[in-house]
Amino acid sequence: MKIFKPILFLAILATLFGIGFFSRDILAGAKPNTAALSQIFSPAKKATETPVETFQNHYNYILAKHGQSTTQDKLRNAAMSGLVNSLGDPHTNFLEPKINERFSTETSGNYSGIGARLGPDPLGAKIATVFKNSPASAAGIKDGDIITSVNGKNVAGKEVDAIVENILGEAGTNVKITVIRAGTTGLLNFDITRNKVEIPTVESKMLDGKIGYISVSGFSEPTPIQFEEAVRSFDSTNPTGLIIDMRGNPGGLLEAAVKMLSLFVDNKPAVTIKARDDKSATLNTLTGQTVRANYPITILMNSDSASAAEIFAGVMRDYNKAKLIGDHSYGKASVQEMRPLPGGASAKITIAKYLLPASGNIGRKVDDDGNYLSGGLAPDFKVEIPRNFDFKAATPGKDPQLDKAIEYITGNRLN
Amino acid sequence: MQEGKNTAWTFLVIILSIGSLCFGFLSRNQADMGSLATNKPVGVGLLATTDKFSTTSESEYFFELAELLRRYYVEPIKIDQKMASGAIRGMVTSLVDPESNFYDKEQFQTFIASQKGIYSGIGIELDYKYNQKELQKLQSGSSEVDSLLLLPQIFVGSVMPGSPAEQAGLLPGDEIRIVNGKYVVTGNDIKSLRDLQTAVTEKRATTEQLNKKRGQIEDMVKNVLSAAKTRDYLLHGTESEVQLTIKRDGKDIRLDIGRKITKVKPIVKNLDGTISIRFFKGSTREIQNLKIESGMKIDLRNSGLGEFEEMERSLSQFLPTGDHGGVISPDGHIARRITTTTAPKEIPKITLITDHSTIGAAAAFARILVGAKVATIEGTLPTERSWLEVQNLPDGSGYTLAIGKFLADLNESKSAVAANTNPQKPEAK
Repeated sequence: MKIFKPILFLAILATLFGIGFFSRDILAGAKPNTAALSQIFSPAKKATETPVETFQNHYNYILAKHGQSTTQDKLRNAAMSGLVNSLGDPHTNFLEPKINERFSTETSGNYSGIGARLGPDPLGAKIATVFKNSPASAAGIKDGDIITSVNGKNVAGKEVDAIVENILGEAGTNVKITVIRAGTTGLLNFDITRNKVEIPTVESKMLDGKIGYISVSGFSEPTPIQFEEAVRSFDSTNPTGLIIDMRGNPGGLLEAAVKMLSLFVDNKPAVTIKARDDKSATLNTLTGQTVRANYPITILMNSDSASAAEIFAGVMRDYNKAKLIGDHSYGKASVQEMRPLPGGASAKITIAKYLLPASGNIGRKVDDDGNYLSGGLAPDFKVEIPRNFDFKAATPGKDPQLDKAIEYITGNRLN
Repeated sequence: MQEGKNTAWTFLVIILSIGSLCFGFLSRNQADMGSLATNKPVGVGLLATTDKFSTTSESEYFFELAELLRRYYVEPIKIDQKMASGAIRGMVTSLVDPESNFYDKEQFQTFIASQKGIYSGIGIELDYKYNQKELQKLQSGSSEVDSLLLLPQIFVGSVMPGSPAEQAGLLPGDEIRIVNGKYVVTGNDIKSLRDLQTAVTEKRATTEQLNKKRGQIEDMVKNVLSAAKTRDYLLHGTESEVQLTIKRDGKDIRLDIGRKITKVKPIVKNLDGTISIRFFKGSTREIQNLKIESGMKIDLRNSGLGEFEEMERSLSQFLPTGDHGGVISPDGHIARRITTTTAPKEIPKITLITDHSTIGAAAAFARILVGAKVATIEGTLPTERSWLEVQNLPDGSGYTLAIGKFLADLNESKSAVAANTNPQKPEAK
């Protein structure tokens, strides 16, 4: 009896040690890592460096040899980026303090701009979309214009993010923009007053031949209601067909996409979110929301259609509700979460993946040079826009992808 | 009395229990971080605080970030040496130094083999050139740095004798433009686009010209080949051909070159009586056996990178004892002193045949000998080259770090302070 007490006590102590030792794993919801335990009980293994030691040694070495051409902060940021990049996931990133700060001001909406979405171009930035009623559209900037300088500074070869940063500023201030436009000789100069821009996400119009056209530029909170209104009003007119334009749509709220799918797909699995350790959740479309949709539907997409836009397009095709026209979509099928780090930096980490009902994983794969390898949705009809083409989005005759959609609808009309 | 004793026991039990729990937690830190674990528990707490960057040590930061990834990333991952190598790759790349290169495991093996004179691929050594103005901006910490202007030009450095490259007629100084249909996009390409744009603004060129150029660059960017991948194509592999387009004297030339192992000897006696020396790893003995006489001509062309320490050991064959200058780091420190303690009986007067294909250790060798006035140059004196140190990492990858440039007269360096302490050099395995 007397001996039991101390033995029991020792056992409790050992258990508590174990709880302390594995608390990291337990808190993370993982299985206790017994390999770590062997690390402290086998002194032979101690001779090898831990990853942290390897890093620290070489950090010291490089700093000692290159102290003048770099700074501690620069070196550390580069190291942390490198560490995160070693996972090989283009969407898991280290955001250093400066970038992180910009990221949060932008998302909190304290910035004003000219009301246009920009895409990359070797000469600077290409205007992907000019928003209606924006300063840019009032000034006469058009889709497809190429911005070559901002406030007199050449922007050729700069990254789009850097150009956007130059354009954004306080509301009421002016920004000078120089563009080249296909079919126009010389450069065009614009002086535009920045203003708060509300980004409309749904725009619709009826095209000739009773074909409905709805452009969706993003997935925000009001998007599903606006989209439903547009779809229902077309549906009630008994149209020949419907074109949903997802080109340049970078995605947004996943729930919005699922709600919108419910207009065409009744109570079926839309997207499965696969998180760690095979925990997964499937979002189904809602019941009793569907419209008649007794007409062909096409979805326009391009390489800038990403995330929720691809999920919408992919699910529609997986249930044979629509044909996809245009270019390969981007291939972003994952959820990221921001995690703060000391010193104002943060890490954007992929925490889950999306799987589509039939297409499965559409995640983008690139080679070491960032060149596209696979992923994204392949279109049913591939239509590219020729270079230097006088492109005008959503204008028949000036938009080859739209023309293909009209051709398909006319050829497959049911009424 | 009995009650007091019980209280004391209870107290002890509680203390021991808590102690055990904490000890467990700290032991885990010890296990994961090794000797760098601090007494301060680096757990969840650190993330919640708004610690200043400077108050968190690098190793803590590394560990926190790695732990964050391990805990939240969608795939199960381990904190391993791959992460450390990734971080080191990031640091080395951030220096944007033409001679500081990170190599993954396979690349590093090929690199080490080439230091021994065993070349894969087409049998050449590459040479990089950066836009100096942008590079200085970067190193002075300017935020205006244009990363695209910093894309290096890639040249053929040395062509190894007996290699497929030599047979195909590739020459040192040829600029690599297209490899297997993929383009090497350089800062120059971007700059030419900018210059044309300025010309359009000043009405010296037309928008059509600009659009044409833009189309060309767009094609190249769509099909771009990074500097690292270029190295892979040209310096790795022993099978299949590479299709190469190079620029020589302003003209594009197409060449198909095979890939195989090319073994190069450190010492070759040429028919014209000159001797080629290459400072490969393990060449010291052979160089020691070489009889160095006055009037001798040593050919250092197409030298390959070689190994700096090997070259240093051979210096006592050529120089009188004493100091022969040193390596000055960018901030003016003496990173390394070149000293010989033994010398040949008679100091030879020799001639070195060099040109722009004399790179790496051989270029430093030529500068040291000319600085010590024991050699004259036939041809052109190699440009100032960086002194390289090679580091290997536990996961088999490795990197080269340029630690400075050779200077014959150390008094020229204003802040000739004590030599930098050698850092803890990781053990090679």
